[in-house]
Amino acid sequence: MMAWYDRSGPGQDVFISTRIRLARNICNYPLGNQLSAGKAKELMDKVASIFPAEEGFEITDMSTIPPIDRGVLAEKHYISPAFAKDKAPGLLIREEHKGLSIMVCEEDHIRIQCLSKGFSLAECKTGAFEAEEKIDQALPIAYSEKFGYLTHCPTNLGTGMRVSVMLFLPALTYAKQMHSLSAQLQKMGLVIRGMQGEGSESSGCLYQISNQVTLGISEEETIAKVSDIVKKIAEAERQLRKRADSLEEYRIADKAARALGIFERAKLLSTAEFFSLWTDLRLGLAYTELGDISYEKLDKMIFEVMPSEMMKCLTQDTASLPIDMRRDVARAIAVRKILSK
Amino acid sequence: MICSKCKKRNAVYLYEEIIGGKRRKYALCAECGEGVKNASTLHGQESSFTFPFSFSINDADNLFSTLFYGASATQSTGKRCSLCGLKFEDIIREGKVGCPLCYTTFRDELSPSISRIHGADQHKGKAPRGYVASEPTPEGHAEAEPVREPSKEEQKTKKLKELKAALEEAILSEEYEEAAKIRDQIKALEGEA
Ligand SMILES: [Zn+2]
Ligand SMILES: [Zn+2]
Repeated sequence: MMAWYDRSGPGQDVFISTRIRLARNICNYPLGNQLSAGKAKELMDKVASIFPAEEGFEITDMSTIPPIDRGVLAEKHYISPAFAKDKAPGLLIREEHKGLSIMVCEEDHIRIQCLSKGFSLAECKTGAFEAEEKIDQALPIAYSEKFGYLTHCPTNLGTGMRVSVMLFLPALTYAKQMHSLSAQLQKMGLVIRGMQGEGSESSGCLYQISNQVTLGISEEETIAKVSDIVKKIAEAERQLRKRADSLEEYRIADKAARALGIFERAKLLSTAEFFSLWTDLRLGLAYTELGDISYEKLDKMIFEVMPSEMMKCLTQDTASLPIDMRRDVARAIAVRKILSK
Repeated sequence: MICSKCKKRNAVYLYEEIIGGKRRKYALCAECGEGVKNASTLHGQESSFTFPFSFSINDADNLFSTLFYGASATQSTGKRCSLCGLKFEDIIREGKVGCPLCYTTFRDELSPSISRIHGADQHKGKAPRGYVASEPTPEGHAEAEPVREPSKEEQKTKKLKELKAALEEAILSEEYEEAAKIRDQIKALEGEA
């Protein structure tokens, strides 16, 4: 089964991925620290029974998963970093071909998320609400007419829905537009987060945009709002990329070709260097052919060469080296492997 | 300046956030400030993700207790949620409720902060299947109580359990006055038909 991130999606020149997440809680069960281990177990069993293995759902008891594998799951966005670190019992239910993953006993009793590549809100919406429907039919979901879906943290009240789109915005970043964009987005009730791979500002051109508020705005309105705004941002990014003159285009193509050279030959690749080169390559692809490099290959990397995954790929011949160096060796190998596929 | 979250330590950070177009500033101590900073994470991606351009925090997750800026323990009446046993102070401290029923129990106390977070105080959108919206009452209260909350009997059983736990705790910590109070509450509750 191909992983959710190992696919192509619409608008790949700018869009990396789309996600819709729903927070739901069940009546009569306490939350967080107030939820006893016994009650948690009971709840997990109830939710698990809604998603039988015979129907293709993969169920994982998080308590049986070593920390490093939890880290891997978080790096691939199947679970939240908080769920990866959480020592309390939890359950993960997955349906890979739909990009569906459900966390049970995370911050909320149930967190449903549907992930897809590129810009595909409709697909995410269908996937998330189909799963939600199943739960709704089986268990009493905590809800009030005033506050909507009742969530552990009041910041998620109302629809309990978070719509997130991950974008690649190098042109806007280099043109120093992100600061003013961020201010505008905040005024519109959206959140933007910059994602950086450790290094300097130029190494991270990935951003996640999501809705800030969840109460007083319907699901449809939220999706329409996020959709409308990210489309405008993508358009601005594309327009800006088009403005590069032939000289600039040549430089971008040169940078990308050099980045590819390093990816093909490097013995060590730190996360920071990886992101910096990756950005050069991904931008270059908008201007020039780069052998058989594709957006699919490049995007697969940001989910598969992250620290936890690399810890699982350490090679025996590097056993005498310090651990972070061994990880960088593993990363260089992993990147090359994805390139050559 | 005193930290607006813990109200104990001296504030060293100034946080700014914009929610629903409204700008707010909070002074936080080093410890509370770190907590807020660490709350920023990209969707599922584990990394040190801080917004690279300005130190503006508009990540509302885990920031709720900061938003109780203005809500103080003076609002507390010692009332406990019958399902989870939390008091309003506990919710302020944690920034999170103890169970869905807390929203009914502490509705009046929570409402101002919820309005502040969302810039709205009335849900709009989907409801669970089978949820029947209640008609506005003659008194003009358009808002109905949650219909899918535990029954009176369940609430009572839960409350009793909580009280007994509290009693045990009070005795263990030698708070006999408190213990006597709790014992009275248990008696009263058990006496109810
Ligand atoms: Zn503090
Ligand atoms: Zn409660």
